[in-house]
Amino acid sequence: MPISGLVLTFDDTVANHRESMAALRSEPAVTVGVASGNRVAIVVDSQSKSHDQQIWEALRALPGVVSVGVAFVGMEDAAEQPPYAGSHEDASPPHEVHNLGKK
Amino acid sequence: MNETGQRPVEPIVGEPDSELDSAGRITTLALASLMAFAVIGYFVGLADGVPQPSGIDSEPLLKGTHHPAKADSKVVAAVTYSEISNVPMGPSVAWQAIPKSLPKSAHEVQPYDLFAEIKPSESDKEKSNFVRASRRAFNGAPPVIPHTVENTNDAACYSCHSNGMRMEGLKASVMSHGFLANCLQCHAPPPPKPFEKIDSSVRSRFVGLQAPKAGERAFPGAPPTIPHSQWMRENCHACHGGPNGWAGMESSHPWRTNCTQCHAPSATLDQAIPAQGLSMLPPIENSTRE
Amino acid sequence: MMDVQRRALLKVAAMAAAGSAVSLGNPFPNLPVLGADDLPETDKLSWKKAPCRFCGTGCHVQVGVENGRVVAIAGDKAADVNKGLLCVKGYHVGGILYGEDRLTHPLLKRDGRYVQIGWDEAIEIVAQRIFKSPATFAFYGSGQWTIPEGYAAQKFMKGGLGSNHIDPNARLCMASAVTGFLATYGVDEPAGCYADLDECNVLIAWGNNPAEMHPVLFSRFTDRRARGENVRLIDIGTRRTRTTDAANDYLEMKPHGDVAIALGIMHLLIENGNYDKDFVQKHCAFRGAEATTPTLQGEAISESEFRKRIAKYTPELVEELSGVPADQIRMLGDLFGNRNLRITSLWCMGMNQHTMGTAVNSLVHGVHLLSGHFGRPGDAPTSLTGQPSACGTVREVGTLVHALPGGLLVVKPEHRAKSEELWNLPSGRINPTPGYHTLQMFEKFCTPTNEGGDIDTLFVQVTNPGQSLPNLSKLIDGKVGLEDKFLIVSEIYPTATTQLADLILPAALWVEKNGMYGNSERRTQQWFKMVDPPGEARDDCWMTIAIAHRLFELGHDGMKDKDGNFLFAVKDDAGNEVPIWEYEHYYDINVDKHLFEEYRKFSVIKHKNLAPYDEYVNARGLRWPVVEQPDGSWRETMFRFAEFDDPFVEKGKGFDFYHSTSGDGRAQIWFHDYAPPPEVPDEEFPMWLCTGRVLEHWHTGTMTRRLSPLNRAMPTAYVEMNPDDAKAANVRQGEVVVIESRRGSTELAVWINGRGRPPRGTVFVPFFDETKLINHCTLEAHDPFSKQPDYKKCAVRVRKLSKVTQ
Repeated sequence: MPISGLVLTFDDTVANHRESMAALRSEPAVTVGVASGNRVAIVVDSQSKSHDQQIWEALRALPGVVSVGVAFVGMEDAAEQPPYAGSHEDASPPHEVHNLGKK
Repeated sequence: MNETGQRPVEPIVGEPDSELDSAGRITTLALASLMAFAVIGYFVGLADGVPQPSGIDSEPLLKGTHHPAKADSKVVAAVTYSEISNVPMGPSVAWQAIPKSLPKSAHEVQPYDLFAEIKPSESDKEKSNFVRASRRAFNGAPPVIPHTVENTNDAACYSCHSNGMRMEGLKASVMSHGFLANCLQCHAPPPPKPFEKIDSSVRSRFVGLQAPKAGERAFPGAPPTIPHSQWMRENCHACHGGPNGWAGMESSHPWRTNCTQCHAPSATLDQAIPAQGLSMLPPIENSTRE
Repeated sequence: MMDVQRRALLKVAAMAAAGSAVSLGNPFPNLPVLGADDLPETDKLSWKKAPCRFCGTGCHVQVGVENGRVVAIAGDKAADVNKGLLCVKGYHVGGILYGEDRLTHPLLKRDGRYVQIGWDEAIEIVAQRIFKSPATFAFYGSGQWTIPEGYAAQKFMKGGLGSNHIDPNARLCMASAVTGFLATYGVDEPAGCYADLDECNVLIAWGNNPAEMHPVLFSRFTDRRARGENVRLIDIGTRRTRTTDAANDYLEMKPHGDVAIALGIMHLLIENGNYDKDFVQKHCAFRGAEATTPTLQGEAISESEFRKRIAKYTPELVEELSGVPADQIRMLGDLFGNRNLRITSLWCMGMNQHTMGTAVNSLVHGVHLLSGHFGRPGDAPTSLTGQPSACGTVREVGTLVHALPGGLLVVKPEHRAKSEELWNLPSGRINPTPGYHTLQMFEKFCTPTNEGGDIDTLFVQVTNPGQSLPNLSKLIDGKVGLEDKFLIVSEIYPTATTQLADLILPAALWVEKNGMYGNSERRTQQWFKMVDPPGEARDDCWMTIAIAHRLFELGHDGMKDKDGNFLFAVKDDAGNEVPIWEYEHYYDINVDKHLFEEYRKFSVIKHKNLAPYDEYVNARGLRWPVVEQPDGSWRETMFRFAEFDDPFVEKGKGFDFYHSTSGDGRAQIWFHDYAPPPEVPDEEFPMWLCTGRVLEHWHTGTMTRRLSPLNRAMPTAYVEMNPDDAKAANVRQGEVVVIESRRGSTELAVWINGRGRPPRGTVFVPFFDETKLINHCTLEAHDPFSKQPDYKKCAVRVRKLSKVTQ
């Protein structure tokens, strides 16, 4: 259940991307932080790796986003997880990702 | 005390012996100078307790062993200024021969292969850990200097420690941090030569933080987290890779350079978490979700 | 599953990392990635801030504590002073707590042997002696006292006993810096700060070896070269040191030559007409010493009189007096005459331990004022301190025989009245006569009572005078055999001083107690207790309060305020008095905070404003004056007296020396004639002796001699000799010789071309080694104003052991 601190860079100032920002704010797994110039800090708190992956893809697809930078990755405690059975598949069910920015 | 430390050039001038192999020559020279010192020490011992100044006088240690340099091999004959342009100057043959005669570094014997398969050995790691711990008061302390340092400046330190080097059984560690002036500000040298024999042991109950054995893995096969502070250890390859790292601690993938991409450092050890929340950040509880 | 709190913390950290990337304009810094196990404050290992225990630089360290013990130290990256770097002492400071011979029980000397006694008995013995004869009791403290410790001792003596016999070891290390600041600006402590080291083009070390003594500051400057900046280091010294190795220019001077060099620079500035006429006209005045009885204030002289007096200090005369070639004096004159440069001067013991200490301090300030190299970032005359709280505890709290907290003086009736008001004391409690300064204090203590030695009980805290005083044979050894004299020593380890003690009190050290320090750049620092002291060791501040309370119980009126309450009464939030004199209740409340908040009221009187205690808890120190802003935040001051930064300088004035001795906002440019040193080499004692420190050891070595990496690096004191002197004396490397002066002698091994390289005719000996006390040789001749002795020059001879024993 990763927590990551990301930096989104838009092609223009953040203020000119209200729709994308609104989309970000409507995604429960995303917390929007400080914005400055054309960059905005967000925290993604996802429920599983696949969920995280989906959010990542959605962020990249967000209109105006030119790059998604990783500033921070939170790992989880191995001891608190059920042992992995050699499968690379995430055990948890896929989560629905809001259709970010795709109207 | 080996007095030759004061004038390293002299024995080489005095004892050219082409038949000896290089290592043998050095041993011979070291022995000769040791013997020289022993002889002096013997006479000093017999004298009136008023030994002659040593290490500072300008005369050779042993009378009669100081041969003038052979002009053909060591010294370019003096010429007049007008002749200089026609005379090959530069290092003499003997001087050029010296580096060739030095023992080869491991690197030269076996060139470093970045892509060679590496299987770190647990016993090597244990040994390396032991050596490292013996030079630190606690994990994270700047290591003390295990070799003599005399009137040495920073440039001398960098010449071996910037990229590290190996020569026969010796290894100069790579600096794990960037250029910083005044090396001895942080790295304590061994006692000055005249005071080597003085007992410097202290009685202390200080027990330093131990070096971690390994980073933690989220699951088998996951990249381990970095179990130590990265401060002053920005260059991971200083210990974990390259030709001059620590045996047993090598990275199995030294060609990969962006280490923290996969290996998580510790925010606590790195003092990365501010003591107070940054005022510019919204508190998590009142996030800006709509 | 990960618990909620951890997740919240992780998210804070994630947001901090992403947020700082956004605000710093660098989207991808070092990728701080966090593992779930690395959250702050795990049970295993916790990290807390503290200032380093050693020198006056005031680096902050992060102290790693595991299972109630200090196990690791890291440079504090959030600290402005050191920016994460430390020196070899700082990295190993944690080990000072754990020497095997820590003192753990009060020890009383009975029939020539020490017996363990309980704390109640120890406090009783001290209180009874003071109760019987308060006037013959003296308190000798330290620049290593924390601010609350010094404040408690100060209040106990001056506010409680009505006695001014309280002086610190800082008398031996920076008293002349104080008098230099007072004579020049009318108020103590530097105008600039360490940021000058980042801004200056030229750094001049006046008889100073910062490469070894203040290495973190030194590399803060020299590391600028590694960043491609063109900075020039000028080393003015009496021997070559590691500072010389990094210097662009080395100006080798004769001892006392610094006075002549400063005069020579001023002469050239006047002669060449390239001094800062505008600055001098608006903000400076000239001063000279009175002809008959010189005072610290001196008398005003005109600029033309100043010109007349300085006229004779031509580069040629200066060369003769200082040994520095005239063209190098001219080089210095040209540098100071160039206003496009930023010049910072640093000095420490070289200029302070000087029989002309006040004079040479004032002259170097004068060079900066006259040339206008003052009050811009990088343009500063800055004196460094050797102890962690020489500024905070001694100079600001005023634990000196003549001072009261906040820069007040016992001789001034209005200052006494103000202090009595703040301490709620009856009028007239504070004694108007300064007490015995350090040298007098020990002289009186070591003189038989019937011969005028009117100090019979001496309490020493946090320092080691048995090793650090000059002329030990007279000032310490004289105590032996005087049965009615009683020496109380609060210490952490056995030292040269505890050897003579009648009562030894085991003290808590550094992070074994709460504390506050004040460093060389006016920075006040705070830390919390992190581990318990060993055995019965207790806080020095508690000792003072416990003794005071026992006196209170015995009925000593001085221990009561005007309303009959105990001098150190501390009440909790509910208004109930907390019995802090009982050690088990000492940490029921934060006594440091209580004392500091009381002391803070003094700080505003002379514009040395301190912030509330809690502000320091959250900061890596703050430089005073710290002034509250309209929004309730507290702003520190980097550059004093200059309009652009000092909140007390009126807008439009440019500069204001608001404590000017001439009362008109001007700083004083002093003239002092060169005078020769008190003792110069002659036929009988032909060599100069200079004493000092080495990088690895701090002061008398009580702490650093118990750290393996440091003691290994420097296991013994030695005598540094020039090769030619060694040859002439027929001594060789490592040979043990005898150093003799008119006052005493000590045996030392010779180190030729060692750590430093003295010129012919000079020897150098570090004073850290308790087995080789060089202070048997030094002399107690001292500066007339600061009473600080000159440890840096006296005449000695070097003799072979065989010749002495024959």
